[in-house]
Amino acid sequence: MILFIRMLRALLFYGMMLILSSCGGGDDDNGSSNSSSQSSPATNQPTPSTPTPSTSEIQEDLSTGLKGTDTNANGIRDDIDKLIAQKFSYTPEVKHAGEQKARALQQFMETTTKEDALRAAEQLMRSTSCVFKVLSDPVGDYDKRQALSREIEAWTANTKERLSKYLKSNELVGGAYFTQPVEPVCD
Amino acid sequence: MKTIMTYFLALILLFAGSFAVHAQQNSCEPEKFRVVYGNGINTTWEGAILDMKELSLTLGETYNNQNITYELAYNFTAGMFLDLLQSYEQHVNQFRHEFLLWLNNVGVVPDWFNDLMQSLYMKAYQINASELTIHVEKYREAILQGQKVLVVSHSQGNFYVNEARQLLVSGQPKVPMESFGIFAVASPANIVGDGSRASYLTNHRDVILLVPGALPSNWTLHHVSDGKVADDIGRVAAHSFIETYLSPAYDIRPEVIKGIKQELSLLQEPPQVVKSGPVTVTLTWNLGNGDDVDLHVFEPNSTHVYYQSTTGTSGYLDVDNTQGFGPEHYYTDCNQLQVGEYIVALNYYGDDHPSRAVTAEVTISVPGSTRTFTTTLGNAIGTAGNSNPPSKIAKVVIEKISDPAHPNQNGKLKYQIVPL
Repeated sequence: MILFIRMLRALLFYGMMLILSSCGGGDDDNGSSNSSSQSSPATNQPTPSTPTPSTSEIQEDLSTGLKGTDTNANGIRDDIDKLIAQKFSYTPEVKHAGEQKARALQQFMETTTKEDALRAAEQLMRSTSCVFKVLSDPVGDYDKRQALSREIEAWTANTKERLSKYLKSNELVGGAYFTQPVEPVCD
Repeated sequence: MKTIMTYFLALILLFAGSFAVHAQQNSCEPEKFRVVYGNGINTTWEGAILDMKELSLTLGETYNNQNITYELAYNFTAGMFLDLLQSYEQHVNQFRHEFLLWLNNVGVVPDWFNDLMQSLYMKAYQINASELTIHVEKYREAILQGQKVLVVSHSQGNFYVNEARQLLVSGQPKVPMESFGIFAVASPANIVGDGSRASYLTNHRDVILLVPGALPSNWTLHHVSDGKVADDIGRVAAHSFIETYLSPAYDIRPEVIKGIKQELSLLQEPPQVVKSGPVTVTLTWNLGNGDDVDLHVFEPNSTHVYYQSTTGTSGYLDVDNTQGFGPEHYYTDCNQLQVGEYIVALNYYGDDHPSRAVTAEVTISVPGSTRTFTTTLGNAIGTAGNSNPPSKIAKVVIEKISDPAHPNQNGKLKYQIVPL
């Protein structure tokens, strides 16, 4: 009887572990990045914006050229690294998503052929899907998602030279059609 | 004892249920609804993705217990950017990151910038018709796969989708138009689709109302916070898809969703003409009356799939057309997919007339990526092109990921479409 109860306890324990792992919203080869996002129903009540630190103390990189200064060679300009660290580091996952976004935008801006621009655009789509995965509350995270995307984009194309090149990359993908990326969407 | 057994049985049943759901999520069948976002003017690629993702998060993954997939038909217009940039340079000492923020109505936007934007919105809109080719082929392909397609279009995107609809109606192969719908947001056009339904939403402050001939406003915008009419919102800001139409701060957001759902409810499910799989290739061409172009796919193990051999190791030619326009279609089976290269090629087989030059469109789709290729074929060569079809279009490369830097991706498949 005691042996039976011990076996049952073990079965219950492992059963619970298996249930928890199979329900964990794991990777889906067919790619919807929204698969585990909506934990609460959408409401129309806006939440107060989370105050964000000022970026006035960040020295904006207005140098010539597309790349700017990237001291640690992580594919992200130093001033944008600081921007992300200051404004978009609510959690390590959000910071990581911001960095992925910055890298993808930089690569997109630098493309010169249509095929390269299409591939870079697909990576941008991945990076946005990652942002939506880590900031997934439809209403509560709305402002954060907008701010992260808009500001990193604006800082990436922050000189006339960069903006002109960035618009050219956009023109290269004009008329294209894009599907949702497959998991994993976060690097 | 009885209680223990009951709990144990419940655990088994719970576990069994979750395993079945996971298997269902790996099905090869396409989602029943395809919601496509058509962006507005002045929208960068980044902005268009943001709009589409916000729409998907707001609308949800299902409607009426049927899954929705979200896609983006992107159009780009340079004209307004350049006008704004010129004016910006005249007003500021040094170009900085604010330009793109102001364009998206973020931060404190100066009056001169807003005034210029407003005046630019009143200019005549022109669409770039060549940007429609791929969009129309994808809409057609979706309907042939048995999907109901709804385009949610914003601003200038409405001119694009109206034109796309006409091309769908007039083009070949024919598709049932009851399976294609439009929901127009902030439209400068005077009509939605063919005008049979007024499925649109424009708020009373939207700058688009200043465009001659634009559909009239049909929603008075209110702040959610205090219920007051939002007469304080700038006209340009009121045009924004995310910052206004989908913003939780305004009462129009649920109306957008309600309007979209209404349109979804009216779409008819089309017959499935072609099947779906991880790799699909759809061929159409612009000539009828016996004009015949053949689709050929060479699978990684060199199996050749075409009209004389329609079953491959990984996939099938499930539609062969010999009378004109297409489609011809190849798809891979979910459970028989090979890693390696799939070569897609064409042979202009025959024409009942003296051979005419034909324009062929090939749309290749894999998870996360799609490409449409357009090619013109000269003289038909019949069976001479069977063993080695002369027009090599693209290859689909499928690899297993092995990346020490990203171990969570190891073992997964990576798909790439490479033009030839």
